[in-house]
Amino acid sequence: MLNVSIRSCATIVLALALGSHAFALGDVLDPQERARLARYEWPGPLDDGLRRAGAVLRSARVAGRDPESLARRLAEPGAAAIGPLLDVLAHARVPKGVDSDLPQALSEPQRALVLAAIARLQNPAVRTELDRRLSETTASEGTRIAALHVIGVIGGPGDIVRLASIAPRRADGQLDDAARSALRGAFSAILRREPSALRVAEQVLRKRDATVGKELLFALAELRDARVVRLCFDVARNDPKLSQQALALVRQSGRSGEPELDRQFSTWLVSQIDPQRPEWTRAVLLAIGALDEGDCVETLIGLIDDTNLGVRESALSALRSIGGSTLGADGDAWMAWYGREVAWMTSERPRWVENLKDESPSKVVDALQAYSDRRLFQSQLARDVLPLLERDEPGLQELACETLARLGSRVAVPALAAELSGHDPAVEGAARRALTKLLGREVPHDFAALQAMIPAN
Amino acid sequence: MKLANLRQSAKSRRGTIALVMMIALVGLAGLSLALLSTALSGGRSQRNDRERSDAHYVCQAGLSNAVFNLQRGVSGALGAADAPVQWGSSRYWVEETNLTAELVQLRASGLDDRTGLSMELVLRRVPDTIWRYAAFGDEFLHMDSNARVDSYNSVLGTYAAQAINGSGSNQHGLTNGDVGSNGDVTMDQNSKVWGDATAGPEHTSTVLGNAVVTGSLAPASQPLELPAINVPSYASLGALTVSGATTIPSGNRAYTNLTVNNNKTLTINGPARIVVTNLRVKSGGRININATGGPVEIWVIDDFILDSNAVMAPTNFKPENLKLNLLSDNVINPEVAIEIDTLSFNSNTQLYGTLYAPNARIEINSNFQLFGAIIARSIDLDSNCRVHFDEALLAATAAGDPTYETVYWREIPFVEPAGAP
Repeated sequence: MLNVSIRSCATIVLALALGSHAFALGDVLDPQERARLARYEWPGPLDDGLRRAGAVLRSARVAGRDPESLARRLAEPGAAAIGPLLDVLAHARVPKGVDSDLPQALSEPQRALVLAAIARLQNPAVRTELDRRLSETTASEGTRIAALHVIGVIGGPGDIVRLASIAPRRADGQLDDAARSALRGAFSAILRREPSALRVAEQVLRKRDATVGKELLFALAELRDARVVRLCFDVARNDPKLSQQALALVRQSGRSGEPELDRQFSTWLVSQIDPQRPEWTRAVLLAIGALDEGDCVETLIGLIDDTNLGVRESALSALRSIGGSTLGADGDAWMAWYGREVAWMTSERPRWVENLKDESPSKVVDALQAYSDRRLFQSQLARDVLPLLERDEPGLQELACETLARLGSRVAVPALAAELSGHDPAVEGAARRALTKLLGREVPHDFAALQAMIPAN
Repeated sequence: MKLANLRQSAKSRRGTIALVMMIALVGLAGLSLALLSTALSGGRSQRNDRERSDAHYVCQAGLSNAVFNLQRGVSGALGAADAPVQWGSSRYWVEETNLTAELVQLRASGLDDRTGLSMELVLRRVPDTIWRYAAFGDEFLHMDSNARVDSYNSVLGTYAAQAINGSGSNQHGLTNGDVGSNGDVTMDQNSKVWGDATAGPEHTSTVLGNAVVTGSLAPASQPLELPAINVPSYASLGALTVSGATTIPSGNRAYTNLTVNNNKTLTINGPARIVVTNLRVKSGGRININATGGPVEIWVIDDFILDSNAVMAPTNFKPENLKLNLLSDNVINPEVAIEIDTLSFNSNTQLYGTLYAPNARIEINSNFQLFGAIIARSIDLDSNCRVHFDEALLAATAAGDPTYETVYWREIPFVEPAGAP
């Protein structure tokens, strides 16, 4: 009797549990919701590897999970994780960890986790599996996009050229949004990790594939690397399809650190001013504003009365960028300012150059003060200041670093970088601050990494 | 004879000495005069320098006070030429002129004794509202071929009445249809902005090919902060599917799923605040906002779908009367659907209002037209999409006094006012 009662109770409890579970599922999966989520269903059978990856990835959507530990868990199976993780990327879906899981699309943070896990795995094994999948004639668009993402995290300079051939294209030869974004991301990741990849990027741009070139230029823009200027000059002169974008890129990279190159580029840009093409002319003027140190100022002043509003605005913006002034659209005021700057260079500068060489620290300090206020021809002025870094007076060295930072010319970068290996912490700190300002980003403590950032002079 | 000669010689010497003394006296007097003149001239010059310097400082003080007043919401004009403001021993007056709706010109004149100096400062009025752009993407904003952005002012009438400029695909209304981002702005071939394209600080607006921006390409001086959405909590009325003409009365309420079926109309009487988990207006469906009693604000938690030819609009077509806040996050949860007219190229889906989706990537692919403004995590305006910024939103949504940013300053010639003291 007791047994019967126990069995009955157990049956009732089980029935209630199953019923509530069914009710819960029914509540979540009403037909409309089920139909909507069906497109995110995993497209194939699930093995243990996929289920494991799915369970970890699903937990990533729970707040407070540490991405680092999740990536470690994804990579734990070692080589056995490669296949499932590539599958997840290719399908852009999250496999079910347990059967009751709802269909899930792979989110951006989840994709980042998968890529972080792949980066932890053995590179040759990942490459082998990737190559095998890409060599299949039926390699899907998803597989190709997954490959772009993966090469972005494990690839090197040699992969830059290959990326263009992997990117899936539409029938008209263009890239769709997903391919574009993956390609740009891969270019960007490799260029950021491997500064030497810039030379390979040059080769890709020479192929004149505007679709790929455009994404590569956007990736280069994100680098904010002075070495990009030479590349932009080349593209602007030789590739009409990408030239306007290359000019926009100059505004993000800033001056090259090679005054002669900047001067050549600016001079070429002045020759490209075309009143019949106002948007092109605006791009040209803004690029001049990013490169010029004063040689093109008179040309710009002549354009602040242009009939085209956009050209006027860009000429003024370029002048302000060069001169660091908020003077208005008043040609006479700009001309007066320019006259004063040029007069200082010809009549005052020789006296201050002598002061910079003087034994008396007070005279040197006065000269540095005078140099700090200048806004034009910074590279010439920076070269006057550079010998001070050689003097055995830390106070003056420190002030020289600050002056070089204020002048803003990248010709000072190699000399400032050399100060980082010096023995005086105050000078080193000043040099680091100056470099951060000149390069526009945090200076790495690793000397080799810093050297890779420095433009070749 | 000898004595006579001696007397003659003495007389002659006295005459010579007198002459020399005379010359010396004249010389000394001249020298004294020259010294006196130099001293006086130096003093005059020093006084002029000092007065000019004082006038310069008093001008700056005047401009500073004027800007302070503007920021407090009062006029920047201070004193007048015939009744200047006393500043120590100096005087100044500031004139204020509104150059455009955005630009304010301040002209300060300072007088120290007899030396005057004038300075001009032009400021841009930045309304204290996030609704300053037709379209703003926090991470980036991209415009693809044939996307167009312009502006109109709903206070002055309909967009159609103001879209009288240009022709064909270049027909447009007013030119304050700014687009912006805290990141980069990129514009592909044939896209056009009648306004500014403002990238974030340290970022760039890239205008490619024959795309056009009629206004400025200068980046913003500081990022636009996007406030978090606070969703109110109301009792849920469950799901609502509109299968015939339906009206939601004014008040606050919540629904799980709100669906307007094909070609059906839902009217919401304002004032109303409505929280919806999923909102879908199917093809040809319509949500009318009757804002006679007040505006309507809608919060959407997950899906927001406007199918082809769907319309959401206040009955008076004033965008300020419909605020849509999308809590939807299609980055962390990509199953969340934010679909605005993605299906039909020739559809005519329209939204009159403000669309705020700080967590969502929004891509608009077709002929969608927005009258009002949109802010999202990122925005991709694709082919033929049209955004018409309603300039009336600036005043309608401004929370307090505007801030001012410097456009430029310069010294201008001082004009002695007639009858100045």
